[in-house]
Amino acid sequence: MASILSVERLVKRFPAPGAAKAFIWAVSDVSFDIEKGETLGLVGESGSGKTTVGRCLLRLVEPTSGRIVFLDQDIAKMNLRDFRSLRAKIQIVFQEPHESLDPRMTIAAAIGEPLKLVKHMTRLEQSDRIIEVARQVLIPKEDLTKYPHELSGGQLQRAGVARAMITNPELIVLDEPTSLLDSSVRAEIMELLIDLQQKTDVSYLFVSHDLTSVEHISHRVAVMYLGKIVETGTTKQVFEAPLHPYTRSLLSSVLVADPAKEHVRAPLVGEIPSPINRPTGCFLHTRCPIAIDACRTVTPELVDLGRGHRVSCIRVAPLPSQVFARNQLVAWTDNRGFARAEGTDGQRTELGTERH
Amino acid sequence: MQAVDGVSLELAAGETLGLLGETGSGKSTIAWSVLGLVPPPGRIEGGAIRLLGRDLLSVQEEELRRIRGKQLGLIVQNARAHLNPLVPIGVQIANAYSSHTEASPRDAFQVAVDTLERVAIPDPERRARAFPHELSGGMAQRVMIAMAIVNSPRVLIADEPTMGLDVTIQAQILDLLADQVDSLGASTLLITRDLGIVANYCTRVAVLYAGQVVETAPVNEFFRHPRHPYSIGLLDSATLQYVGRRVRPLKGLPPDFINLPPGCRFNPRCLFASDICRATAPSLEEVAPDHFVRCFRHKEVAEWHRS
Repeated sequence: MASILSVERLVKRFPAPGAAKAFIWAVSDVSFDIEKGETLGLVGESGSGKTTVGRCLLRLVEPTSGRIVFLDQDIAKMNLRDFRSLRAKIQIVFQEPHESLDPRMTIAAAIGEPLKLVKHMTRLEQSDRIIEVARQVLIPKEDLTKYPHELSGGQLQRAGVARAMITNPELIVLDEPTSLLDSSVRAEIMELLIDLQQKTDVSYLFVSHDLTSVEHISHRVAVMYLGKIVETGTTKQVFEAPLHPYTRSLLSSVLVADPAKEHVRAPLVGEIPSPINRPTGCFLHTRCPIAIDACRTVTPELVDLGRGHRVSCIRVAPLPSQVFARNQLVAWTDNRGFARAEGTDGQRTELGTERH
Repeated sequence: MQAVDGVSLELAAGETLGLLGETGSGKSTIAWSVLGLVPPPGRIEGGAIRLLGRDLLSVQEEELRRIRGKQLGLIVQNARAHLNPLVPIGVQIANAYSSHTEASPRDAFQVAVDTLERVAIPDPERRARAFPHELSGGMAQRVMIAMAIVNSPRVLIADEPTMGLDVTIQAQILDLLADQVDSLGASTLLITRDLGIVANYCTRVAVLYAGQVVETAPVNEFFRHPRHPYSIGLLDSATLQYVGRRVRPLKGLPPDFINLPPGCRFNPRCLFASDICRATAPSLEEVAPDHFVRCFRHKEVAEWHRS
């Protein structure tokens, strides 16, 4: 299948405030593809750089280096006027609908605003399109003449989605679109996004720290830590057989809404390091339960462990094709040089041997 | 407008009660009521709040202040916003301690340092001199917990204590809170909108809808046999597991308190609503040992959910 988007070695650094030669390294050397009709989930905690990646795609922040190939054109270096002609094809939905909805505009006007990126549309065609897209996202007609403050958070987010959909884009960056919503409203928005994708074959970059939503909507997932992708693969690969110590810790932190499932913890110690003074070697080594001396000096590369499941960790080696249930994984022991997973039933499974 | 209406909750010693509700359900109003902190023009119209046998609604403000902070500890979300930005955190904790004891400032500060150590703040001696803006969100939440436990309260009220924190930090904070509550032998009222938190950290749950408790049960019973259609909708939404059938997540919005529907407050959104639901308000009924539900049609609902 053809890639809609191909990001190659994307880097974004910001000057650190108050220091002449220091930088905040928000994104370092990130590469990924998105195919037509596909959803890539970009997961990470605050400070992981996931939001910056999404914003680079729309040139809301300017990439420092790297290529962003969208519909066969490198948009990373393109001048902004040329990029404008492509902007109708790539849209964004923000976490805060207020960021994209002008409080002085009616909902209809806000939804229709991106149509100014589309040439040769009459007024009538525009208003027809607004009504059509509003119907698709289930915004009742009487809400179209209201102002943002008159709608609930869920309805506003529907308007945000309608605004993104109105130009028939190829790709939508969904930047934490549900994280401020109550779970019942979140479920509705998720259903809406999945429906729209099935109907229009639009691709999504779903940026979120909410792992339940990511698992639900994504075909493939990339996990970010401190500006880098540490693991990527299909949703099944990453959620059912996570290999990177960071991914495993992240998944084990999710509180499953079922007391019958035993909760297994694989906690990381401490907090995410500063993106100004990043650790040497593997960025996770300061918090990693299976770090060895080499992790402090060797920078790990993303290695394909089979079928596109790629992991950046020198402690994880290619695996036989085992699939684990998420809750079977307990911990790693490294006293004999093996990365291991221990099942809740007491069975031990070897995950991979140490590589020197 | 009545934000909370006829809510009865009981917190047994050592118990962690999860008060579950979405935006506008009235869950925070209940917390403020217990603390006697309902902001005017709001007021408590009736009822009783008993702590260790004393009615908090009938004691004087002075007395209430003594109880608050000594026997009741409060942990709120977004701790940084609730700490005084101009005072080192160690001094703030020391003040919370010395306002309920006769300790000298020096002793109180030492207690603060010890408490920071209990909540796993690294280098507590130095951190005690830090100001709130120097803390990360997770650290600030630990400081908040330290402040809440410094007087060894009998009851802790935690109002969405991990709202807005990353999942790995959330797990650290909730584990810490559970450990501290355990070692104090305290009871906790844990206010949350997250069923994952309820499943993992609570012993009982009370589900709030439009200011009323609609279901309450021990946690295992609740997750195995939910009976109220609203609870079931929340469970489906939380897990996004629509097992084969696309379960109708909850449609619509909670009612406006000024304009409550007649009958059951949930009826406009309920798949099971019948004539009686639109005419008569149901009361909480015990449907299994210690399991109460406010629904006329809980039998059909439970059967449908099982199928």
